[in-house]
Amino acid sequence: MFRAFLNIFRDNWQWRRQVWSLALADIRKTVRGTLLGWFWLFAKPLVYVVTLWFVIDIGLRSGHSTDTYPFLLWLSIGLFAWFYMSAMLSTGTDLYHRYPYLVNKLRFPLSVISNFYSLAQLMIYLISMVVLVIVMLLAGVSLSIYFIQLPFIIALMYLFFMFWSIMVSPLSAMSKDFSQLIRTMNTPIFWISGILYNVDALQLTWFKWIQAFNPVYYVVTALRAAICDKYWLWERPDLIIGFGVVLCTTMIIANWVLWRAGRVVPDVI
Amino acid sequence: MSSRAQVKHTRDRENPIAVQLKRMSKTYKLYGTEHQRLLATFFPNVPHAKVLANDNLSMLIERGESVALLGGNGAGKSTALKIIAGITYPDSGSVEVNGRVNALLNLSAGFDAKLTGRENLRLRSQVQGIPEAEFAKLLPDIIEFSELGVFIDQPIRTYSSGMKSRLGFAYASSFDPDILILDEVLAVGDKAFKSKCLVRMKEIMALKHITLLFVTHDMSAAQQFCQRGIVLDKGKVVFDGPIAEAVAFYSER
Ligand SMILES: Nc1ncnc2c1ncn2[C@@H]1O[C@H](COP(=O)(O)OP(=O)(O)OP(=O)(O)O)[C@@H](O)[C@H]1O
Ligand SMILES: [Mg+2]
Repeated sequence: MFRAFLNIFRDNWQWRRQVWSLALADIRKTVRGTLLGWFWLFAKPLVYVVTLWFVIDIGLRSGHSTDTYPFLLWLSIGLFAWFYMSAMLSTGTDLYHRYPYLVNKLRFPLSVISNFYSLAQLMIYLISMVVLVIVMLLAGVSLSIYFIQLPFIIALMYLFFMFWSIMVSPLSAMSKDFSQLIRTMNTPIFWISGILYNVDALQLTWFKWIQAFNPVYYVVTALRAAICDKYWLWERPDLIIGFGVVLCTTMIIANWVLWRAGRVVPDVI
Repeated sequence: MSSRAQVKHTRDRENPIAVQLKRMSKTYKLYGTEHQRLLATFFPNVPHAKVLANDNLSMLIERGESVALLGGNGAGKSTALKIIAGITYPDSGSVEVNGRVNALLNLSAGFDAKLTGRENLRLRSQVQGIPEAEFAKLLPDIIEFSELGVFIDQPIRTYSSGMKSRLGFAYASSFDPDILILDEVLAVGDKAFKSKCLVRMKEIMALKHITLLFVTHDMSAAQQFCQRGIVLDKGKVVFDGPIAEAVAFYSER
């Protein structure tokens, strides 16, 4: 089993050139067909962000801008990360049906499929984050030393969701009901993870327990710590320990699923 | 854990052994429903039917040999080729393959329907780790051989099945693989294209180092290209020898 674990990393290292070119091909596939493909790729999330901002901040007057950052920034950080995570929670859970020919026509390691799809989504995310930071600086909101935590947080987010995809894709390959179940969870996860509102303010014990197992909550909270709330992550050991446990558990289960089911996947796709 | 089948692929094109199977078996498990298959991942004793597709296959194929796999429908030929190509996995025994493999497994050849012919070729060569320069050099030849004309820049979903197999064959036969695996690829091309393929195959076979694994129901094509024939029946090797004898053995059954 431990050998299998090393295999995942070895495969992804050996096939790193393919990871890069297939990630680019995946993006190209998404943007193709429309003249303004690249434009739509970013226009849709942008409209989404602005709409929600308008409804919450202007309409309901329940945004919480502070002296140091506007609510729009706080919201955008959560939503941009959510676009990445929701891609991994929907398409990312059933990748072998998206790339059947890599599974049953060519020799290609399954875990690498999760890696390059995740990378494709991450590239879109990174571009939107760069734009966000530029806009933020232009608007006069300043960066702080806490910002240097950002690459670390993004890397952990990537690691988690890559292994998440490795864990559930073989199961989705076997059962469409399973992938439907996960997709159905997408909306509740969006609402409970505090992407639109500050869940730490809610004083419900059972709710806190859910968050303790919720990677989306950890990622969003940490990203906001680095940019908006400005504190070091080690000042919140509950975040570090909680996410660490969730990440390690997911990696171990993913490894186990791949070991048990990986060799069957080409026969059922 | 140690009972897991061993699968080894290397890029060693100098190794005199191209392919070696030792007591290799493959069972497909059939479940009544998808749920049962899912459950079986966690609980191995979920009831299921078994199909023994390859039963204790052993064979040694040396570099440069050309071998035809013969056998009726369901004999396990495609399964054996998929295992050699590293696409599916055996349950027990061992598999060793040395050299760059190019496999063309049945007609659709697994192209991405949304990408164009040209993009698919590039993607596939990248997946197989073929250097960009080599690809660029061979691309005009592939396009010309496939005779697709303007369709090369159209999405694959607009292709007929014959067009797909043209593209697949043109690609698989161009990259000078060490081991070429062809599974019933001549079945859908029209007459003109089929004879073109045969000519191309002759050219390839003239190169000393290429090892060919060929599945066909066309006995004359098998005899034309292969020196050795292996007859499978119900997953077992029932004959292994010179092609003429293999064809005679197979035809008599
Ligand atoms: N993915 C699969 N799931 C379950 N059973 C399978 C699968 N693929 C093949 N089989 C079974 O394995 C057996 C061998 O099939 P295989 O495709 O290897 O035969 P073949 O010799 O290539 O036949 P043909 O000449 O018709 O192509 C058959 O009984 C088939 O039903
Ligand atoms: Mg077959």
